Amino acid sequence: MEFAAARLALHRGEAASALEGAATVLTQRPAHAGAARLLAEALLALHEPTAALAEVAVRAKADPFVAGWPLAAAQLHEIAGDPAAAIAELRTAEMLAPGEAEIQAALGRMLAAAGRGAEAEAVLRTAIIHRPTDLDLRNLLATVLWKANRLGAMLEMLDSAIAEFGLHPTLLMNRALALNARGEQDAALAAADAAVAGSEGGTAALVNRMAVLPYHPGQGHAAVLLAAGQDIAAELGPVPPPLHRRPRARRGRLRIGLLSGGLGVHPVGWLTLAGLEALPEAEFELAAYVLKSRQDQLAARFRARCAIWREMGEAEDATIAAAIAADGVDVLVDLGGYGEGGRPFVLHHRPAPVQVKWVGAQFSTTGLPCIDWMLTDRWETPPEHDCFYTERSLRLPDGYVCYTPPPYAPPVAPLPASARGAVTFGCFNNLAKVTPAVLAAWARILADLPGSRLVLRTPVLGEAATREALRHRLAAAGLPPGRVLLEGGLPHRDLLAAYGGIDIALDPFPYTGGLTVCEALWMGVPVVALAGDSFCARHALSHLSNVGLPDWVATTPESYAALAVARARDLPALAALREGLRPRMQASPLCDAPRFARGLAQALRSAWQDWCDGADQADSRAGASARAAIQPGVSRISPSEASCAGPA
Amino acid sequence: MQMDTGFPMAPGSLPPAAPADAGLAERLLDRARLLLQGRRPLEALPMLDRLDRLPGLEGAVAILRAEALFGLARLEEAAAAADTAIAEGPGDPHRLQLRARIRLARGERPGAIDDAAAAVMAVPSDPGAKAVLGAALLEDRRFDEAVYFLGKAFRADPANPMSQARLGQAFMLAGRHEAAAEIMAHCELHAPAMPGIAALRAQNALLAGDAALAATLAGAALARGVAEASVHSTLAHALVAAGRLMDAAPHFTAAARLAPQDHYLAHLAAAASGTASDRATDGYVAALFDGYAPRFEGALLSLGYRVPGLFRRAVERLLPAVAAGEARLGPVLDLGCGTGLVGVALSDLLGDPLVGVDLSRGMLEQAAAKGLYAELRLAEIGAALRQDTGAHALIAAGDVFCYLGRLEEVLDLCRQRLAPGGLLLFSVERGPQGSAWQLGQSGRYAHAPDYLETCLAAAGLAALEWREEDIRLDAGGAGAGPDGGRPCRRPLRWRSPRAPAWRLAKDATARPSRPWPRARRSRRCHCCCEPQPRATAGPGPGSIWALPWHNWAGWWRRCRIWNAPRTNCPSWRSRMSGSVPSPGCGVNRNAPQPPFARHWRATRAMFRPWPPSRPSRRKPGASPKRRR
Repeated sequence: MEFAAARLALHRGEAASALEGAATVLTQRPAHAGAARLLAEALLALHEPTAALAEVAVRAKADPFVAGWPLAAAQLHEIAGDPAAAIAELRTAEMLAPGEAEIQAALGRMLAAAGRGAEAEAVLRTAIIHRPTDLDLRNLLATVLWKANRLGAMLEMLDSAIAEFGLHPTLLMNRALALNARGEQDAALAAADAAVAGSEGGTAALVNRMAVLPYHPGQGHAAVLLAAGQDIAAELGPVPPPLHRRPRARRGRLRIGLLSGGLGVHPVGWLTLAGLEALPEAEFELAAYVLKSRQDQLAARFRARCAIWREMGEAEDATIAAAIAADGVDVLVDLGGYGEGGRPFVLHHRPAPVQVKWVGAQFSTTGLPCIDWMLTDRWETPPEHDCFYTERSLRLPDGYVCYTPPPYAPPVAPLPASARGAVTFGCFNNLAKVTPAVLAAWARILADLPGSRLVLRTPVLGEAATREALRHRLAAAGLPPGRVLLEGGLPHRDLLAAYGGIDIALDPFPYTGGLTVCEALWMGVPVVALAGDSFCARHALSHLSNVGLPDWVATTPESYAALAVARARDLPALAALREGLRPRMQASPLCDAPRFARGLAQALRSAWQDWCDGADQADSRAGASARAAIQPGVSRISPSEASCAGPA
Repeated sequence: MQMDTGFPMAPGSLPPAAPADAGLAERLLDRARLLLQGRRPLEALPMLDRLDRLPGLEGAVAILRAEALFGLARLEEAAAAADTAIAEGPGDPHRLQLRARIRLARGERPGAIDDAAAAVMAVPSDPGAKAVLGAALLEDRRFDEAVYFLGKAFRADPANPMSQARLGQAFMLAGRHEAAAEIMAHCELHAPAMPGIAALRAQNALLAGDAALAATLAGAALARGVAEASVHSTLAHALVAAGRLMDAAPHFTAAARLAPQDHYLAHLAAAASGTASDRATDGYVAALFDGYAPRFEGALLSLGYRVPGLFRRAVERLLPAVAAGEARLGPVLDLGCGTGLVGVALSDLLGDPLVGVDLSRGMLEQAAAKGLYAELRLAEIGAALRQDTGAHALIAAGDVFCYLGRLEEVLDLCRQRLAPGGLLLFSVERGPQGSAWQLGQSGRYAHAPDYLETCLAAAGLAALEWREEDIRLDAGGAGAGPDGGRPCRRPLRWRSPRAPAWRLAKDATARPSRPWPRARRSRRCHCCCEPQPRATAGPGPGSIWALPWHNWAGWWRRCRIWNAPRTNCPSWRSRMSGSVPSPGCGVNRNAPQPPFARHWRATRAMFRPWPPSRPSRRKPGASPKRRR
């Protein structure tokens, strides 16, 4: 009753009386979380954040064992953007008032946001028991289990939630991701379509569908992906006015922006770092807009190369775009795409004149009109595939990436088949890429080679339920269970060492391996692959052609199986290839950073020249009257360089 | 219950309400301990704050609070909590160790050493306590003792990479570079992922003087993927030491980017890449000279640093009354006093207090040890000049303006703080004529002469004298010479050891030009056998040469003067004063000897005719006889 009165007072703007009322409620019911939140809001209305915290601290000192004060403090810390301190206060509140569902829920939420999955799971499960009607908690628990690679538990949780709450779009989207990660692409696509149908507009469900589509054996083609991208573009709505300021210098030092959450030990890091480091400092200035902060060696190397480093984290798309425009970035390279943690819609605000899509969920065209170029090569996008892309192809002379071999990679082990007598095939790819057609091809290969075996290693196979489900699928596809080994994840160094037990790597399709192919080649294991027509279907073709092994790529599943069998029968050639593969790769353009950097520099310059030409033409067409109307913008011209012919 | 927006009771005036649940305090304490063990001090702290004032738990809670606050780097509060904890339980070695670490982090070295030593004495077998004591001694630059204790800690747990690295660092700072290299190589081999070990190894090689090896080690670490600010910085310094300034620039930039709070690296990166700021930041100057302070004077003297002497000569030239001793120098302000070399140079001319200003605490400590400065201020010179109210007769700014780009403001402030007729002496590095001021690759600014004239005129100072001097020898040969890098040379006068003394004493008056008997070039003290320099050139009242030779009295006096014990020999003095007992050996070298027993040659010489006709019996080519 008093609580309601206090809340009304705050709504009316009488913060002081709201404060009194909330304090009164807390003295009577110490663990009233709503009153605590109200107190926090009232204090914020009256004082600065630090002063509000000080006041709460004083009250807590007077009444130490009341749970309301740490709750209020946690709320203030959360608003101030200090999650660690909020978690600390919530832990105290939980100790002071054990069993309170609100506290548990808040604590679980903060722990999940901080990435502390193990602790978050325990707390969230308790909270769900106490508050069974809260959908957000279940969703949050699903996300925590996803990050821990426990798909079986996650699906169980989601199924029970759907049974209770119905077909909520968020639950369906998570379910789609979980099913996809287990390799059940059909069910995943069905769930994603249901989520699209169930959500009333908005791009989230469409992006989720786009994330699941490339893996699908029947629908993962370039044309379908193009249509899906164009649906997203249509959903985005009208294009806002561009944020970047004009005019710009045609020659001179280019400022390249990198928008990504993977600037660290992540496929984006491994495939882009060497090339970016080798770009000459005098001609290119790098600015990084980091969506997820990482503390590892690759992140440190990125940090050492980039002159500007902005941690964006939880900011909104518009805020990030404003920051990029304020820094005066010339060419913005998106390294996130529609993948996890990516923010493709930042580019919708046009913060930079030239916007390029590169590595990072680069499985097809984005479909967005705001992205001008797709950084690619002649194998990924041969000229006849240009019709599948809304962007223009910016082809690099060699491959589209430059691989950084891990410095801690173990030496190449001798061929296991020489000792064992029969070939060991391996696939260390994500289970989402393994489709029924792939399993059928593998079954044919194992049938043709008695004694051979297949090793599948991926982190989701660490859970028994997923392994069981996969075993059923293997049996259904005709793979002999005794000759297929299912292994869980390993730390990176041990994963590379595990390639020592593999003779030939088998790449799945339609979504082929990217970084996995590079790692296998570095560890001396050649890869048999199949090339499709979407961008992600041709990753393996690009890497293998770059290293000089284009004959290891097939075009149909039958020729794929035949190729694998043929290679497996020629053990001496295989051994010779294995020995020479790492030096061959070191010498190839795939690992040649200076050469890649020259190509990349030329490509970026040509994209910039193209924009400058377009801008010149637009200006000359605009004519004198338009020139009078345009305001001269604040320029970033370096004094010694000539500028684009812009409005004076 | 009535509550206004103020608070009805002041905190701390009432005892805290006890928790309703009796076991809650215990549970909070246990949970806080678990969290601290799990390295979560931020989460433990609110719980400990609530238990703080409960009766009966003060000691246990205080020490846990101290640990939590130390983990959060809130050092003042941690120190207060640790003091409370030790007041509760004085002899507890764990509490003493924690307070030692807190004090060490705050820079209170003597207190940290006391506490750590007490902890070691309480539990002599604990290697952790010895490690803390070793670290404290290392901070205090007592290297041998630090090596002893860190060695003990290492021997207790040889496989621990942390103890290996600390011991290696102690060896490196103590100057024992081979031992340091060995243990650091071992540490890096077994724990290559340990942060900082690669940089430490390269730094050790650099301090040992092997810049090439340091560059190789740091480059290898970078190739291995170790991307740390310290590795880039060490590699850049090694390349600079090897003379490869162009190669060092990208590494300074990378180091500055990886450590954005480090002003030292930021300034060097700006200098190396040519993006100049207005002045070197306070942090850069402080960091540079704090690290340089212990070996500053030795290094500069070996480089032939001349600024203090040049300042003194300028004072003598421009203030002849002071030089002649008729007047004393008024209040002197020494900007950028460093270790106080300018104070030493002017020490006998001072009449009024000498005040020194510097940004580096380490340098000021060295200056304070000289006992010449009335006041030493840790401040930036602009701020110090603004705060100062006195009218100084002399403001000396030796090697300070090279850390400033724009000089207008500081020159104006100097004029305001000079007494009428006061003198400002400063040294700058000369830059090229066109540009006003330029940041060189060494991190110092160079100023053009016309810019200096403009600034002086704008400040209202009249230029009395411009002198171009070589300030010091630089490794690159471009010391303070004019643009073009003429190598500066010290005027050296060598005296051949074979040249007879009489030839050199040509200028002396009343000196008989006799070839014989020859005076010894270097007399040796007969108790300590140290070569004694010639006290005075030319005859003085006590000189041997002023005596009559031909009679017995003259000979006797000459022998006594020649053979008198050297009163400037410290060991003789201490023995004569009785403070040190003389050895009880047969020959008592301490007492003045009668001449006959020891100086038979001189006795024979008395009767030898002049000049000597007999050739000496010594073989040709033999080395000249040396008196023992």
